[in-house]
Amino acid sequence: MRMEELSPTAERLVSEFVRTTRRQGAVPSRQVADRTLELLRQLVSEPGWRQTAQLVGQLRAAGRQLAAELPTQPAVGTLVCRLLKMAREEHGAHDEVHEARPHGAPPSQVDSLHRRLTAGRGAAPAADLSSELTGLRANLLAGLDELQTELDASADNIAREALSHIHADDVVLTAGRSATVLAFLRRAARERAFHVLVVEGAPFGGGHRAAAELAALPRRVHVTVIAESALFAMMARVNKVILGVHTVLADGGLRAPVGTQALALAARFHSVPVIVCAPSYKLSPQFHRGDQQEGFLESVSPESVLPYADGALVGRARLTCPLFDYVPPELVTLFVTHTGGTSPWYVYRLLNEYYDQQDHEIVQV
Amino acid sequence: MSSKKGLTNSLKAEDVVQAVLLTDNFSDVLAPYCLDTPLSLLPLVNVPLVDYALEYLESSGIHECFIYLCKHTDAVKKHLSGTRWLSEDSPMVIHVQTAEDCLSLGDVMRDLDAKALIQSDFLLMSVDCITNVDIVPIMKEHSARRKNDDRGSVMTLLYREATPGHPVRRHSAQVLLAADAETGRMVFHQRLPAAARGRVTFPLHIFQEQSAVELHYDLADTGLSICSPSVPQLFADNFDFQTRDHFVRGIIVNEEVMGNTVYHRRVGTHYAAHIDSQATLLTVTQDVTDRWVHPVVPENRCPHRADLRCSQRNVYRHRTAKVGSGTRLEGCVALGAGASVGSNCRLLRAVVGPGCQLGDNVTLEDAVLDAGCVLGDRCEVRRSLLGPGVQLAAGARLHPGCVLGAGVRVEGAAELPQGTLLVGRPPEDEFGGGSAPEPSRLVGAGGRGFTFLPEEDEEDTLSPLRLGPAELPTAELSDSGESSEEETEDESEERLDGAESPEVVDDTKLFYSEVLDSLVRGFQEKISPENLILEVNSSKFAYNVTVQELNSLVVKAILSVPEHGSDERLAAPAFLARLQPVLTTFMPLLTNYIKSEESELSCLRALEEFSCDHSAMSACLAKVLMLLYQRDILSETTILSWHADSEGLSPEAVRVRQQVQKLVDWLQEAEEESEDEESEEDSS
Repeated sequence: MRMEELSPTAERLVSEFVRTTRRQGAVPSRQVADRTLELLRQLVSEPGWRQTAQLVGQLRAAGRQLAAELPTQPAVGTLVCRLLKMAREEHGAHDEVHEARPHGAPPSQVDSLHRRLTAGRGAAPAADLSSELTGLRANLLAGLDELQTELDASADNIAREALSHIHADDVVLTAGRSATVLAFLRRAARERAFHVLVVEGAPFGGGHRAAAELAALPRRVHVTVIAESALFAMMARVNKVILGVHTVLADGGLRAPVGTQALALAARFHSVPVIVCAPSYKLSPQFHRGDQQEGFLESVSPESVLPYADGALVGRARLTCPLFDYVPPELVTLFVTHTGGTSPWYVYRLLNEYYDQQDHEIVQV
Repeated sequence: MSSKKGLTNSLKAEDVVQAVLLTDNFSDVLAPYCLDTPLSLLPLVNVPLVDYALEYLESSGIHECFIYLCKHTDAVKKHLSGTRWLSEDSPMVIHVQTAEDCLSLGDVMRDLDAKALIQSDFLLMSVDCITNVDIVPIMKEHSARRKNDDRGSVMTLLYREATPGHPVRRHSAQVLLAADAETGRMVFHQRLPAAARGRVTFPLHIFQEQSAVELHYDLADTGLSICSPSVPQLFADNFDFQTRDHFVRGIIVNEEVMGNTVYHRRVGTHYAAHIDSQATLLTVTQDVTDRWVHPVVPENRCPHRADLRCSQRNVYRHRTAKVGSGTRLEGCVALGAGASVGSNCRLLRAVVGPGCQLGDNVTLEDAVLDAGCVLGDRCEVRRSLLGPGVQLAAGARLHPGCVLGAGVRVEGAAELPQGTLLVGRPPEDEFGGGSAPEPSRLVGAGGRGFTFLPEEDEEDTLSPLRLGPAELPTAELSDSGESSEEETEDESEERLDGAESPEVVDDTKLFYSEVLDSLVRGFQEKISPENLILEVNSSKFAYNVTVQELNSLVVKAILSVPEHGSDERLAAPAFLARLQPVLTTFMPLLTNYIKSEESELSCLRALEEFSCDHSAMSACLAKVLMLLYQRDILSETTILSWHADSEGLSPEAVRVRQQVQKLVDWLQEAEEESEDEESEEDSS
């Protein structure tokens, strides 16, 4: 088996996964995350690999292919990286026990930006992964189960922070429909009365559904739905903007539903803090490069902008319907993850905690 | 194969979702663009149509698919064997059926019936249909309706809403249909030629039978239909059904007799289009690059997404495509693998096939270039289709509407006028012999290209236009619109009916003469009335006449029998003398057809119409009516209501009615008497 090349079985699993995901179109990213974990379980249980290096090679190849084929699904690449980190750590821990190497705390815990810069990339020789490790398969499967539990609990864990961000009589603004944000607001509504402005999220109208769900809460929050165009006018009276996100990029910027950048700019103008609820699997080591829009933005059918049936315009005017916006890190005040709040400038630390630096490159498009 | 068999076996037979994919459209609407390429391998944004269709069928959850190969079977088979579709682990089981003797949809269906391949409701799809409709719920809807509400429901036709004049339907045969507003059951279906104006006639009964009727002229055909398992059987029973339109018309016309129904359904916000002309091919190409069919977009159709770079303004560039400096890709452009575009070119809404070479300063607008085209410097191509391997020398200009088949070579700075159709090989001479045709003058010295003459057939009025202009000239439209409304009302009526009417009129005339012949023969040779009824019925199916038409035509034919073969008109007594034996002979025929009140009325109207232009008949009409009344063919109530309904009668008709006044009076008296008797009986 060559390094970084998929075995036929893995190849089949991966391409099947790609096909199903592509054709599903717009589904909640949580679903994709669950299915990715299922795929990873299959890849790990596959009996083809014996040495850790082989598994790592397989996973890296799979991650590369998945990231290239599904550039707009953040969970896919990040979960592969999480598993890679797990495999490397397992192996390292095993070596440590056997060779009793003098080691301080694990490097990631004390890794500061300064140290990373001064150490230089690749200065520390990559660990030798060529040995065979008994019990690694079982450990990794257990690790994946833990990851699943983390995913299941992440919305609740994020929502637990709600009370420290939303206060009584606050005016909170949110856009579109994000399951994480809804859980966050629901949690706050249990204890406090506040006002929610929901931006409708044209052209998909996710905001309408979100507003309906909020208005149906037993303890009533005041819900106001506004159009995207009314954003700036309404921003003056808002205390806090709470947003969902599609991907948190390595620099702390966002790939977020379309319209978010305008919203964030309006918030910046009125000095309103922007809080982003981000489950850990949305944290990606990917960077946004301004020159390369491919794979970062995705457009879907313009049907929701203008029905195809309208023969007067179709074919004469160009219609586009992009899904995402890039929001630069300076417009974000705080990320709320399941471990607590993080400033955009410290996202790199989280990245280091979750992923091994060697694996960052596989998700770059 | 075993694993796949296991999959289908594990499902219950009725749960297996089946589809039939036709790889041919049984017409030459796309010639000469794809004269030699099979339709299923026709590239749409550089991907063969069959790949779109199979990907769609697999992704929408079809378990079993029958691909019918009718033409160029080897090429298609070769293509399929190179794809993953036939591999073991594909979730959809594909059966390739070769049927080279099938020349129409009807033949395919009859083949399906003969092989008994269909067990459940199935999706009937043509390979030239591009869609992202979520089909399985619609199929479930159809099955549920068949099980619960309407056992006779045989087909659900899918339509996409599109306003009149929409690019996707502008050049195709237009759909006009009427349906029951509550259930969607179709009660009327007609095809009109593209850009038709004028009037259409709806039969009155469609409004009388339903509580609410929807009339639709805002639909575009999608080429998708969901069929019940009985559809192949129906095609087998009716050997004259060739196309789906024949089938639909046959089912609607014979609804009362056979009890089968057709439904229609709109696909809502999903995309579906049927490539039935070259203009539609261009429109659908643009819709795919414009991402209307998402998730069916070029980068998802590419085997490796990373190979195709999609940027804003919907420009899809293959990794290996080269673009020179100063070239503007203005939007909706797809560049295939290995294509190279020179510098300072301008491309707008263009598809450049794999391996195409474009020189410098080339302009492409609304153009589709198949694989391996070579365009010299300064070429200009607008709204044209270029087949594989077309070569244009530097400076060539193609005006809108040009279609060049495979291998055409244009030399010199030629200018091809609007609507030029060229093929790369000389057209086959059907009659053999004759001198080899001269290459077209347009291609210049040393060029290769022969003028393509589309075959004219009788259905040409309905066949879609060739690659027409993008916009219909609007000024012309408004002009003709006004004039047709005021001055030339009658003319316009004729013009629009031209689509169907000549055929219908001819049909009824043919039917009438055939019936008359059978009757005359039957009378002379004393053929038993049962056999005559069979003969008339078979003519009815052959010419597709309605039941009411049939009744009145049979009556008229019977009345014409006495004078058949002689030019001079008989006097009234002589006519009556000859008519009486005829009527007695054909009495079983009349009893067979004239059963309901409605048929009695049409019989009466036929008698009246016949009498209007036949003085002898009008003289003895009362006697004929009396005879029919006595034989219980006409009831007195019908005669009275016919006579009472005297609005808008022509003078002749009034005269005819005066002839029967006596009879009517007598009938009325008789009725009053009987009523009196009844009331007396009641009171006593």
